Amino acid sequence: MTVMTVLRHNNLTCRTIYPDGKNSSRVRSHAGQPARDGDGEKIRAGIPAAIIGPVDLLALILNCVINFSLKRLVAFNHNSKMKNQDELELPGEGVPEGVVAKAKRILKLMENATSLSVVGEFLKSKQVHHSAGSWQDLEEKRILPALRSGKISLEELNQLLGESEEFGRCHIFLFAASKADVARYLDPKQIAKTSERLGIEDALKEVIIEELPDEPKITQIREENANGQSGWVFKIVEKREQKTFMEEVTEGDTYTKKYKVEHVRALNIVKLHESGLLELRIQSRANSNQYDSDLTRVWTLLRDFLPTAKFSELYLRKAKARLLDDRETLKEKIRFSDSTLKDKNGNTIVASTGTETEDLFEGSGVGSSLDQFQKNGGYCDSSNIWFREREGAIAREVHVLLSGRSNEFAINASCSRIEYEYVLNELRAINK
Amino acid sequence: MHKIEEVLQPQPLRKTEYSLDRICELVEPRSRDELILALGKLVQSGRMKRIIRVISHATQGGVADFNSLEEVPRVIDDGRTGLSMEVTPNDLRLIYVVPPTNDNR
Repeated sequence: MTVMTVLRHNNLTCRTIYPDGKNSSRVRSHAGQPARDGDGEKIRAGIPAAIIGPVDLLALILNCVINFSLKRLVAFNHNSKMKNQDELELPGEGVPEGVVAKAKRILKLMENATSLSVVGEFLKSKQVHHSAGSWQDLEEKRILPALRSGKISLEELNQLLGESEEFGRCHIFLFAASKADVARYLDPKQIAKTSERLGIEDALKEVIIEELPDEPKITQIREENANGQSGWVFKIVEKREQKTFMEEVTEGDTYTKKYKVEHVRALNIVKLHESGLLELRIQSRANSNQYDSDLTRVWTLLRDFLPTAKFSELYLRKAKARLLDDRETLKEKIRFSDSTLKDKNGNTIVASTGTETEDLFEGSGVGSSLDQFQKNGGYCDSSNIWFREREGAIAREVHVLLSGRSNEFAINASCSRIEYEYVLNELRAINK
Repeated sequence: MHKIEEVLQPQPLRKTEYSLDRICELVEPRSRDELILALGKLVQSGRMKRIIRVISHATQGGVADFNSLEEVPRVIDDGRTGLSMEVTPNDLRLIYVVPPTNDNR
C-alpha cells in the first residue's frame, strides 16, 4: 500500500511517500523548482539530477535554500515520516498543559469509538490539515497543533467524541412517563440542585473524561434541544468485563478453551424528552444478550433524577406486528433479513435469508407462510430489519434488531445521530 | 390481575405458554415488577406453572424444561440435533405455562 501525505509550509510542498515499505521524500517549490529526492538530488520524471543540465545563479541560491530546508525536513522525516502541523503552518499559542492532556484522553476514547476518517472530516470542516495514517499521527501532527493554534477547541473535541460514541452500538429501552412528571424532572434548577446534593455538579459544566471508573459514573448532564423539543441527557461511563476467545488447548486428556478477560469502557446514555419519552441506551455487550442488570444499575444511579416507579415501559408490540403486516407499504423503507414468529402453543417459525443483504419477502413464499402462521395465532417475537438508504434521510442502510424485552431494540453497529434519530422516529411512528 | 387472567385464559385440551415479555405486551402493565408479583401469585395458586426452558441453538425449539435455575445442567444433550450443547444464560427462557381446562395438574 502506498501512503502519501501532503503538507504545506510557506511555498514548499513536502510529500512523504512510503512505496513498498520504503520511505522517500520529495520537495517542490511553488515557484517551479524541480522535485528532489530525500538526499536533495533533483528528480524529473525519474531522470537523475546529473543529466538535467546547468542552472543559473538564482536557481542555485534557491536550491541552496531548498536544500537547507530539505535537510531539516529529511532529518525530521527520518524519525516521524510526517511533518508536524505546528512546525509547518500552525505555531503553538501556549495552551495550558491540562487542556492538552484532556485532548489526549478524548482522542484515546475516540480511537475506540470512531474512525480516523470521521475525525479527519471534522478537521477538514475546520479548514486545517486533516490527513493522518494513524491515531498517533492524528494526535501529534494534527489535533494538538490545531488545538494549540486555536483552530479547534477542547469543547469541539468533546462534542465530536459525544457524536461519535453516543449513537449506535447499543440496546435501546424505551419508557414513558406523564408530561406533568417529566416537566418536574426536566426543571434545570431541580437538576442543578440534585447534582449539587450528589456532588456531581461538575458533570453539568463539562464532560468528565473517564476511561475505566471503578464504579459507574455520571460524566455529563446536559440539556439538548431538537425539533423545538427540550430534553436532558445523562451520560454514564462504566467498566465492564469482556471475554475474548483466545485458543483451544489439549494437554493429556484435558481440553481447555482459553478466554482473555479484559476490562472495557462502556457508555450508557439516558435521554429524557419533554414529550415524556425516556431512552435508555445501554452499550451492547459482546458476550451476552441479557441487559436486566445493566438496566437496574442505570436506574439506581439516576434514581435521584428519575424515579423508576414513575416510568412505564413503552412496548413495541404494535411496531413488531405492523412491520410484518404492512411490509408491502413499508418495503421502500424497510427490508427484513430474518424474523421469528411464535404462538401460544410454544411453536416457533424462524425465517432467514441466505445472506444479510437479501430481503426475506422478495420473490419468495416466506411471506405467505408467515401470514398463514399469523392467521392461526402466531405473532412476531423478533426480527432483524434494515432501514433502507433514503435520500434526504439516511445515506446508508441501518440494521436494527427487534428482540429481547418488549420495549427493546438494538443498533449494534456504530451510527450517526441522524441515523439513530431516524430509526427511533420511524419505529415510534410504526408503533402507533 | 383481572387483565392477566383474561389474557392468560386456559384453552381446552391444549396447554398454552407465554414468555414474560409476551405477557407484558398483552397485558401492558404499569410496572414489570408488579406483573411478576401477580404472576407469582398465579403460580403459587397452581393456576399456571413457571419453567426455565433450554432452547436449541439450531432450531430455537425447546430442549428441556426445568423448575428452577439450579436444576439446569452446564451441558445438555440437544435431541433436536443429536449433539451435546453447553448451556449459557443466552439459551434460557423463562416461560409461564397455562394448563388446559381439562388438565387437573
